Amino acid sequence: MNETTAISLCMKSRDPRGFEYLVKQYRREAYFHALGFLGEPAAAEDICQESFAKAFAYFPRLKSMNAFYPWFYTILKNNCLDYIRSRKSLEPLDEAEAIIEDVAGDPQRSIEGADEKRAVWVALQRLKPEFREILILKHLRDTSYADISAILQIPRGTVMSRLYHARRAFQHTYTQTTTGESTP
Amino acid sequence: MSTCDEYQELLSGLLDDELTAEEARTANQHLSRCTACRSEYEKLRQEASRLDKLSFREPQDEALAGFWRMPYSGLARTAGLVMVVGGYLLLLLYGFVNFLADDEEGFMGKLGFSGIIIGGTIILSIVLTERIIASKTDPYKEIER
Repeated sequence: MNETTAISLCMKSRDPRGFEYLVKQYRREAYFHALGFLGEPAAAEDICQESFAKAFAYFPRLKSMNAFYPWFYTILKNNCLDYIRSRKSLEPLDEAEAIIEDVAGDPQRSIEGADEKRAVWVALQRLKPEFREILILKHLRDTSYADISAILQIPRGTVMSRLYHARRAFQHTYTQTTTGESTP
Repeated sequence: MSTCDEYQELLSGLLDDELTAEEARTANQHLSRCTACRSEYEKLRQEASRLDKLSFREPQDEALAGFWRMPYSGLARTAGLVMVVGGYLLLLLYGFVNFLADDEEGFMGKLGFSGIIIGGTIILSIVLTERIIASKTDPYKEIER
């Protein structure tokens, strides 16, 4: 089976085998993208589960679809933003050790490196979702501009300028995080 | 292009090696002339290098497998349960009606049997009602067992 066949199965007969193929193809990427937004592994798992269930329910209403993931990503992103809005605490949980590799201060590696990674993650979590999203796609998931453009449904020029502004914002927030200044 | 602001997006593209040959030539020409943009580019490169060091921990396979289950497995299980319970109740009702309609059975036997069936039904409905009320008002129902 390929993606086109799977989409066709879902749209024509709402065949769960087609949807199961799409879920297996994209569930890992969906988890990482949700984790980037939310910063909480348990919440990312819940939101992925909810988003796939919604996507399966919405499928019969669609008239055509070229690629599954950009469409699914809008459902996932909306669910993540709804979750963030409903979260009681404005500050994200500090779960860097559960999310980022080598943050636990492995004696085999430098503790400074672990601390820097934690600070980078904290700074990322303090950015607005639009900037955090594009930095995660580019740097943590190594996504090309063409794919970012398809997923976010924005032109290539907007990808470049948004990345520029996101990196500037990150630089500012990272400096504040490491010097102990509070965010404005 | 005239002002440095107009080169901002090209700086990101240059950093990520995502420019066309023509765009890269334009950006490099500007960088060779503009000290402020060279400094800006260097800062962007530093931040990009910091971000590139991060990588996500892999999720557990069980967590990924739980994102979606084939809906028909749950549906089939529920349908099977309904058929078994429904069949059992129908058989019970059929036996009860036949027993009461049988002229060979004595009145006392029918009365005793009816008492057992009606009493059992009353107790079953009380238990079911209590369970439904408890499930609606249980403050710990969100906690996984």
